[in-house]
Amino acid sequence: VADGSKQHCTHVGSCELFPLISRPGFLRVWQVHYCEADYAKCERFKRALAGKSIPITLLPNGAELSGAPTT
Amino acid sequence: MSTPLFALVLSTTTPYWPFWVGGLALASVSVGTLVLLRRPLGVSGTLARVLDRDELRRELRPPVQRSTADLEAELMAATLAAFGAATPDAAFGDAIEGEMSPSAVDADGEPTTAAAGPATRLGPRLSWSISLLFLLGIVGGGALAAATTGRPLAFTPDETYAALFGTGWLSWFTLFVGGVLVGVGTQLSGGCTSGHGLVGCGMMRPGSLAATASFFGTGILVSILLSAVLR
Repeated sequence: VADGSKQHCTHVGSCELFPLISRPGFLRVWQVHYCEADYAKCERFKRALAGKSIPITLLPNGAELSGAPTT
Repeated sequence: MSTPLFALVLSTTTPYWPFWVGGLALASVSVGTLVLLRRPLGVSGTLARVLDRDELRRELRPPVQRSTADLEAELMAATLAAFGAATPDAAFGDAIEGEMSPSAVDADGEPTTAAAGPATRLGPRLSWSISLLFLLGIVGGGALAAATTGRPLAFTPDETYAALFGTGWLSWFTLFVGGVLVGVGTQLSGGCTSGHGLVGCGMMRPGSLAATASFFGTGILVSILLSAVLR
């Protein structure tokens, strides 16, 4: 939301998970439920807040993918 | 023969570097970190990362590499598992793409800064080994600075500290307790004198200004109280 009326997660512009999700529909559903809703419950956000590294494989709900993308 | 510039810079009546040399060095490190690494300087955060067992585990065992197709399939399954009926149909994963205005995403499909608000694009977080190297560099840099002034590399409590806690085991124990309290404080406030004081204040962040005022205000107050007690 560009008008700033909604409070987003402050990491939404730099989240490394987004480029991994190629389907915009799937990306959107994660963003709606976490980045734009109660982002305090996002496990990636919690780790960032604690100053910990955020594995690229960590999903907002705490689930972890079994591997990282090939580079 | 004229005095070398380096000797002039270090010439001082105290056994420490002149304050302005330290100021310039700290400014170079904090601004340099932001410019080169796109990350704010933070000593307490780096220390917390080095002490985190999960971080070390990841360093020793990097994640398995997967193909894009495998990852996409796994992501699809994870999304369906997380949201069930709220998930856009797998076959029509792009169905709600139109809900995002074109200006809200950039060329890579990532939300733009305008869409994201005041978020700043940060560089990747430093790895465990680089974080450790940074901390060792602080100790090494301090030792090097002390060596240039000709001071011995030893813990020598000053008169006030020795009068309060002596020079034996109690002085070390007090230092340890002080370190633990500093650790608790930095975790509570989300940063220390480097993160809040150098970077946060430099960026005029209200939280950092309040935190730094609290650090130094408390320090000055305690110093005054201790001086009064020892009189």
